[in-house]
Amino acid sequence: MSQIREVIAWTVLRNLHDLRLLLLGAGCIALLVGGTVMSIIEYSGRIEETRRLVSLAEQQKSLESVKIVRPPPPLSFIRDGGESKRSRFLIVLPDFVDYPMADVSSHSFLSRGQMLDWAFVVSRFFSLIIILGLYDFISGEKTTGTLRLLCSMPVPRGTVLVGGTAGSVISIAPFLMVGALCSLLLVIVDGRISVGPEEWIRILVFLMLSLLYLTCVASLVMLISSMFSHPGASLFACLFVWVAFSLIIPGAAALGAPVLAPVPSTAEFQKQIEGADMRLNASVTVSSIPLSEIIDRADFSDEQKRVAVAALQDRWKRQHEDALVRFKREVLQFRETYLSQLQNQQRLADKIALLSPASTFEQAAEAVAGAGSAYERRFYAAALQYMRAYTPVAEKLREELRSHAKVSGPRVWEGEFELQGISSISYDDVPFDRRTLPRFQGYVASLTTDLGEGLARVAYMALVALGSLATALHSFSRYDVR
Amino acid sequence: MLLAAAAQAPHTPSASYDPDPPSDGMGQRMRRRASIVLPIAIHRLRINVLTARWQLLSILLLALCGLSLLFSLRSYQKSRASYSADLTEHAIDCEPAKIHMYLQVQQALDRAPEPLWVLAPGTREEFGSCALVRGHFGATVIASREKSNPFLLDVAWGSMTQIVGVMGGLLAILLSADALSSGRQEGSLQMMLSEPVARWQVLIGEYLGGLFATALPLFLMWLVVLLVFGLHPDLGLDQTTSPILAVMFLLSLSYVSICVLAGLLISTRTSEPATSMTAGLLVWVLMCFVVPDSAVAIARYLRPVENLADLTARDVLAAISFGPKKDDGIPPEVKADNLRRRFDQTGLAAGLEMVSPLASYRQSCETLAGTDIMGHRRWLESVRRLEDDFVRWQKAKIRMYPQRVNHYLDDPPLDLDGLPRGAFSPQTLRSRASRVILPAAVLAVFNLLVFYLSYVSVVRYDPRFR
Repeated sequence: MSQIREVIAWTVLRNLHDLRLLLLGAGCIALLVGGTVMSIIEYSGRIEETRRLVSLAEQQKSLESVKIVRPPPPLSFIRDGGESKRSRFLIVLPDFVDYPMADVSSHSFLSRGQMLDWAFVVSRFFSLIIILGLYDFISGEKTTGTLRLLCSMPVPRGTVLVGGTAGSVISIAPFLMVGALCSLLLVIVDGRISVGPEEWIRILVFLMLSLLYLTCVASLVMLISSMFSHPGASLFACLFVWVAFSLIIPGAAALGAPVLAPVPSTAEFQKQIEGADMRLNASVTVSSIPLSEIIDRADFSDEQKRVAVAALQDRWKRQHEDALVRFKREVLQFRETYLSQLQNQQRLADKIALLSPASTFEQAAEAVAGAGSAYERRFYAAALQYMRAYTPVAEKLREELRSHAKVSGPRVWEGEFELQGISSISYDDVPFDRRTLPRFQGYVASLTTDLGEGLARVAYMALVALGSLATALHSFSRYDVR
Repeated sequence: MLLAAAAQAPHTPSASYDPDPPSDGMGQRMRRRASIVLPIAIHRLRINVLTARWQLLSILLLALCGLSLLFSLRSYQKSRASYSADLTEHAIDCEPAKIHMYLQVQQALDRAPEPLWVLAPGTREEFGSCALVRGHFGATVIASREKSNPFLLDVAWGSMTQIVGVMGGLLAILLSADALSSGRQEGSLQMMLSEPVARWQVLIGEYLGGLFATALPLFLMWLVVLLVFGLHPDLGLDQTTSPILAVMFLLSLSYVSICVLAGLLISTRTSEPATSMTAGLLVWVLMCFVVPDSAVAIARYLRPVENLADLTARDVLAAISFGPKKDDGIPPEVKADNLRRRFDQTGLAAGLEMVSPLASYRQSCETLAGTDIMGHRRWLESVRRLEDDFVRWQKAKIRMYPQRVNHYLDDPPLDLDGLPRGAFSPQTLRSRASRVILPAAVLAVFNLLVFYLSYVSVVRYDPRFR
């Protein structure tokens, strides 16, 4: 145990005497703080937008649909998760929750850039510090010849590797803690983001996750260092692996997912809708022939004709309303299938990206911070729950206020008699007391669920770290000092 | 290693050595200088090409280029198929036999996919590629033939220009970052500087060597692109595409030249190759990710624009139907103002991100390919002109035939004389060239600036201190 402590102490002192690492560490602290400032500014804009949306949603509540607004995640400075490009609300209809895809004409022209959040800084910049500190741990000693001396000492080779890895992570930890503390101080002083006990737990878990990720990186660097005999080669290999994990694998996942899990094109989806539309139109066509037949009946009195026309109108009304119900159900089915295919594609991309420890770390950070796709999924589940409460109330009110609904459709008339088909029934503008509709209670993040989701990723990173260290030990133990 | 290269330079052992005697002509001086610079350049090129990192990164670059072309071509072919289908459908909708009242008449303006979109997708169809104009009888509907998955985040390196920018830049920086620092560490730089070789010649030699080493895989990539364009039936090389491809190649050379010079600058300021390679990688991360993304965030903060879609809570059935929609209740002047502010916001972000050479390179390629935001603006202006012409035509016809507005009549056929047709043609070569001058000039300025800084750094280097 004392030998490991000595190796750790030696590694830490070596790193702390390296001006490059100190400068890089200071730079990373600046990035953490700068990123937090940008996040705070972005968050306050999102809160304003949320307030405006909630107020609009209250005014726009109708028996057709209700908009429920997703509040921005407060810990987006830890992991933003592409919050700017995600929809800020969901549309709840009876028996359906829709993810709105706004008209392309109203999209922002700006690219959906990556925010400089903590997870980004740790996975890109802190890992570079680890690489710089550790790439020549074994390969450098091989070149200078001091490895022979080291191996002649009564120090197990495993101790050297484990001590070096731990020492490297311990020497980085102060920079991470200082950066996090400075950022948190800013957040608390600013006051726009409220940090309660749950948030503190999430921040602590994120910091532990970061240390685990950096350990994983350190193990991989140690493995590479033990495989090469020249420090230049091991540095290049480390940087190449870094580029592969940070850039190539996540990009390949996003490009490969649409190929492996294709989604119908917009045109194909529109064709499905148009097909349903045509079937509806065919079902709600009206013709003046039945009306003429009734009117032309000589044996019918005027009263009988009126009764017959009213019965025909009732029959049409029932048929057309049934056709409308079938149409809506069909269209919603297409929509649901389309949305789930899009989400499956995204989940597949996430799974492929897990090949990279950097992506695994970022996904875990998303879950722990309660942001990104994890947050969106849970908000959707809350919306579904609200939909189950909204549907019976809305349908009951619709029955009661049926006479106020805006009915439109083709008309036929002959003489004094008129018949109307029904091609749409809209409750958008029906006046009613909005307070009778159930109120969305909001979404309360569950700490245990979020942490549980991050835990699976933790196991994977721990596995990579152990596997790399074991392989490095195997490689190093086979090194023949002669 | 540098010493060996310098030793190949012609060496005059006279006591008062003048590298450029006044009696020599310009040609002789140039030849003498070239005979010093070239061996250094060739030596650096040989070193780079023989290293595993160059081979590995070049293979990676070529593999990514191949994959990118494959994905991009597939996407382009789908776009073209959708475009052709839309054109046919719109033509059928306009057939006189199908139209019986003026309420039914609508016009469409489709933006055709262009072959160069394969290389620099930019905004492409993201903000709209098909407009359905109803004029007097409803709002214009702008739709996109292909929409990206809103749940998937953008990819940093999916297209050819992105690969050159991101991976090509990485190759250039990593190859040149330890050019001088390795010599400094070994001590050979000090020995070499004691030879009668001017420092600027060393710098240019190293620069040319690094540039040739990076240009080689780039050249192969663009050769593949030329072959694909020449042989693929849906693409083709014509008098617009060929010069643009040539200019794109030159721009990519200009861009990697900046990266090589940046690597050399870092190399002149550091004494260890490890430090210079890591610093080079940091500069690459800042240039490729931090600066562009910060520019977007700053532009959003300085020029906030509300999302119009948030103002409505339209029924999902209406939202997903492609057909004419009921009015969303947003006044046209609000929409027009929102659009103007979105363009302003984008312009600000584009200006800010020019601080990064990668952004300037990407913007210039998108301008040449016609996939920049100005391309979309031109198309929207064509839609607006069609709207105005169409409304004027409708008003004239309604005045002449008021009973044919919304009454279905088979006979006589509807009078469609003078119906304005929508047409949108791609930008001319001259127009694209004039707009690419600014970002290309920015790249040139970066080249000069970084070269000057490297020169000053090399000239001020004191060999007595490591």
